[in-house]
Amino acid sequence: MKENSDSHTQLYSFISDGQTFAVKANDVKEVRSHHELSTITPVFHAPDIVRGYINVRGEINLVLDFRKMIGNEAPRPASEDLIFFKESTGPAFGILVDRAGEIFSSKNSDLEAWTSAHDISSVSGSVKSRYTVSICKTEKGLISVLDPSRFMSL
Amino acid sequence: MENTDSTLLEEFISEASEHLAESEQLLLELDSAQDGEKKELIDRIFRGIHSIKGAAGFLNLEAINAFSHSMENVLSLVRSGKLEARPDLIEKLLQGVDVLNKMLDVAGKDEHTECSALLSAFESIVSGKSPAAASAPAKSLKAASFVLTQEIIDKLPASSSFFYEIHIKGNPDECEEAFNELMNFGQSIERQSIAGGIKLFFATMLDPDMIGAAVVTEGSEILQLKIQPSSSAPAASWPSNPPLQEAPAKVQLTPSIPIPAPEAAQEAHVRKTVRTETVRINVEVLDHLMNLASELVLVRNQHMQYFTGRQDGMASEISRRFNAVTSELQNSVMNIRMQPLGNVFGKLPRIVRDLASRLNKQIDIEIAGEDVEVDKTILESLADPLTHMIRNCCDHGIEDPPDRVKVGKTPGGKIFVQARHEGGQIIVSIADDGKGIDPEMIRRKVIEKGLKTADDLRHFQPRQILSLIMLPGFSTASKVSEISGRGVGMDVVKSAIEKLSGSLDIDSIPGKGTTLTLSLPLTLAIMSSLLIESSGQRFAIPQVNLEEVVCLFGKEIAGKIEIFNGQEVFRYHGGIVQLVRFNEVLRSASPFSDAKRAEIASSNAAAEQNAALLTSAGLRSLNIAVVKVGSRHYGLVVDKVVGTEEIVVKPMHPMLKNLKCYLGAMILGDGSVSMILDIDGIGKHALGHIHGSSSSSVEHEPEVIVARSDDAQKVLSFRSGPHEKFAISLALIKRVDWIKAENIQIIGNRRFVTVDGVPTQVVSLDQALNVSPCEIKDDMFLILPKHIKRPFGILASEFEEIEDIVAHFDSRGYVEDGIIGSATVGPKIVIFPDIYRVIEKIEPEWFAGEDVQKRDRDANSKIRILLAEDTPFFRQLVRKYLESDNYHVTTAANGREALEILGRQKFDMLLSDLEMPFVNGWRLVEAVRANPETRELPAIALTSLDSDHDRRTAFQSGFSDYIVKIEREKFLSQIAKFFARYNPEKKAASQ
Repeated sequence: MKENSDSHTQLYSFISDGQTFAVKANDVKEVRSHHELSTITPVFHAPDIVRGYINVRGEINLVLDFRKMIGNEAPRPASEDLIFFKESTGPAFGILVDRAGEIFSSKNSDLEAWTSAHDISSVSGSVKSRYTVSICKTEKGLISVLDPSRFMSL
Repeated sequence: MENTDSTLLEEFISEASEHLAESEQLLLELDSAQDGEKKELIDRIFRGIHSIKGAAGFLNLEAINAFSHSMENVLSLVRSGKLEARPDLIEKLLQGVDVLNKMLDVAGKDEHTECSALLSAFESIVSGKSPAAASAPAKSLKAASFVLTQEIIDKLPASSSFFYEIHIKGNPDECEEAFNELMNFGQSIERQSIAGGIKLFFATMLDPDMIGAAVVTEGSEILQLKIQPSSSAPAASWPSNPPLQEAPAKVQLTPSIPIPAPEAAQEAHVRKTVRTETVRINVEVLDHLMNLASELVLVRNQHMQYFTGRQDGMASEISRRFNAVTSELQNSVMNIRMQPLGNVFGKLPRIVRDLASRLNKQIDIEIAGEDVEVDKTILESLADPLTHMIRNCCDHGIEDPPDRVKVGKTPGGKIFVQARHEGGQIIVSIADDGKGIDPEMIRRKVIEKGLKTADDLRHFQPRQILSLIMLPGFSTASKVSEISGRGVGMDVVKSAIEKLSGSLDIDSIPGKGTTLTLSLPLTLAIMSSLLIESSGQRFAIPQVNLEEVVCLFGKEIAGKIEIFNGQEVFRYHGGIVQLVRFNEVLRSASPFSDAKRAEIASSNAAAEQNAALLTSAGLRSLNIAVVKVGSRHYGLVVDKVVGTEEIVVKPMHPMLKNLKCYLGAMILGDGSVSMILDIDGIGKHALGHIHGSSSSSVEHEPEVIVARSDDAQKVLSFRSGPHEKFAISLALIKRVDWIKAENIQIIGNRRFVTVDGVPTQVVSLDQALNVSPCEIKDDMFLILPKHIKRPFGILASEFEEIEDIVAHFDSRGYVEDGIIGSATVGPKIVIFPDIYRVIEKIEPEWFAGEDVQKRDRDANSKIRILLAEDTPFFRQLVRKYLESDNYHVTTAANGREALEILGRQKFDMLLSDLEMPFVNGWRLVEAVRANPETRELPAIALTSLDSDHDRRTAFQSGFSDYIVKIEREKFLSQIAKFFARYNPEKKAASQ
């Protein structure tokens, strides 16, 4: 990320376990409500974070369960949303989140690169630090900006 | 090679291979061609080799260039009539083709292909005959007289590599004729008159060696003009000419060789027509296109599912068009990958010719159906097995000429290769009229080699014995020969065919010959599978892995399943098969340990025992998919069998690649995703790795008709003698009566009983079939069939149950006249007697003097009937009936398939069921009537629907007649009557 203080980065926010996270809007292919889609087919024997397969316009996508990824044990909301990522971040996959948010613009100067030094400061509670690339400072608080290409590294 | 673009090289190789394949074919034809045809054949071979030489020169492939050049020299002598195309010369040229093929394989690599012997042979042929050696003095021009002006340069065609100044001498007529000849080979840039003739600036593809042959007049002079590519714009676009750059001062002069005028003219004509318009496409692009088309089909299916039943005129119109366009698109894309079998068949005559001469046999090969098309992948994988089978025919099948004469055959043997479409598959049959295979000899060999014991073979039918030659390690040649190899024969062929999801069948009559029949799917991109359900999810078992679906009912479950070595097993076809509970596999992500297996086994056994005690028998059922992969063979217990589905296989997501139980994923018609099971992986997961040979594996024939839940037949199963279980389709039974044995009266040698006041003849199956005698008990059952003229009933000692047979219907099992086939229900084999044939065998005089004799069986063999019927049972039954009267029958599993077949072949009659999937009988006949090609085709509805309304709609749709299923004699005489009625009309119409 070029640290040009004048330029902006478009981010896409989502909520899981009451916390707000974001990914770069450029990485998002599409967002769907779970109920719009046919049910997710579970894949037996798959790792815990794999929710299953889903068909999105003829393409089979792997769905990861973001709650499981961050170790959220709270009860599931009645409705969940699916965020699918572009191929540039990894082969056809998406994550299941409590609620998809919106696109927002963040000044690059408000983004602070995540380093191991942040690990102890627990900026966003239980988020596994390995998914986080930077911290976005907003009026409402700090948001972890995640890198989807790291989601599939177990 | 540093400057050679690799794509250019690829292009060259693929094109040269085509030329060589064609040349080979033509050389073989040349062998037997009439004199009149030879000229054109030689011309075409010459052109092929010539283009290879030209392109090889262009690409600096020196070895290929030099070799093809020497071949071309020989060919040009043949062409000009100076050399005769005798078999030994053709042999040499064929070898030359082989050498070039080998060179192509290593083209661009730093490898040398040995060809010096052949090369010098060609050279000596040429030097013996060549006019150069025959001392004709070369006539040359001392210097070029044309001035290379910009005007000339502009006129130079880009396609010509060579330029000459040619002086033609003679009177004006001769000059004109010679000039016209030359125009067949290139173009004249400038033409001027000179003393005693004309001179030309000539641009051509012909190289300095060849130009002499093109100039037909005596005393002509030729000079090659070298045009150096310069950096100037027009010149830069000229093709480079490496040999000239190397030796710019070299002037090639050759004597003129006269060529008769008509030949050259003909060649030019042929050249124009041979060219076809094609575009080469990368296979990857094609595959991608095909994937997309397959996806579109799935989207279409979802769309149709969603919109079906919605009453919206516009929407349904759009849907209809979407549907039609998608189908057409899919067909077209599939067609791109389809290639004619001729591409593989074309190589066979050469193989046969070579083998025949090496084995000192006379063998002719006849090929039919070259234009039948299959998927490229299948075609490519078919070449080797096919070659192997042909080799077997030549080596083991066809006898030596003296042996043939001894048994009253012609000295020359014949191999007949035929391809055709049938029932959605490609059937390739390879038949020879050789010595056939002796089952006794096979039996002996198998026992001798310890592949099976005499005990194993006791119950084998002759046909099953024949299939044993496909066992690994079996070779029938008493001598190991170079040709068929060392026992790596038919098992390799069989596994290659099975890899293509095909099957291989052997039939042989000792002394008469052998027929190998291959059944292949049309395409591999779409795989057929059995959908099953377990743990609430649907899964697909690839059809290749599926042997059979077995359903155990009620008390059978506890009875047939046992625990052996801590593993559940069940009895199957006289063998023991391990059971895998798929639900348990899904529950445990880690492979089963021995302890886990034992735990599963005992808990399930207890559960089954309890279930057997608690629930009334007959309510519970257990579905077992018997699957196989390699030598592994097990029963997969699933919750439910859903049906078959054609699927497009998608690879697993990289993150899930390490899951061994799945082959891939797929999208079902309703849009949901399902997993495709890896039968090998599941076997390893649940049963561990195979050690040693599995004693439980029983050799099974490939399935003929595959299980489908909607193929379920309601049958009545019963016993007559103590040993066999029989079944009759409920559709054929009027009712079953309970009778007392004491009421059966014997009159003469017949038995009668009174049913509804009518004396009814009582027959038992052992009177007509080779089965155990009917047990006579106090209480007996009498099965009264439908559609009979004289009352009779079949005696049953025990009435078992009415059941759905979901299992496949296996016509290759127990076969006897009077038996339609057998099927496996649970662990038992059930025999389906043909009740009408049974009564015909017992009371032949009932049928004598009736229509039987009027039916002209010989004439029938020319009558081709297309039978569209979705139920395998009836398909088999009706087919057998028709074939017993000598009709030529082709079958289709539904209306859609029937339409496809009708598009390719001509038939004399369409016989169609009404209720069928995809395209039903009514729609089928409407489509037939709508097509001008088939409008006149007689069509008969063959159905179990028997109401006035059904008849009316059938006739309205365009059926010419209506037959209710199905009594053999009545049916056949109806068909015969129909043809008798129809034929005079046809004759009248054609006059």
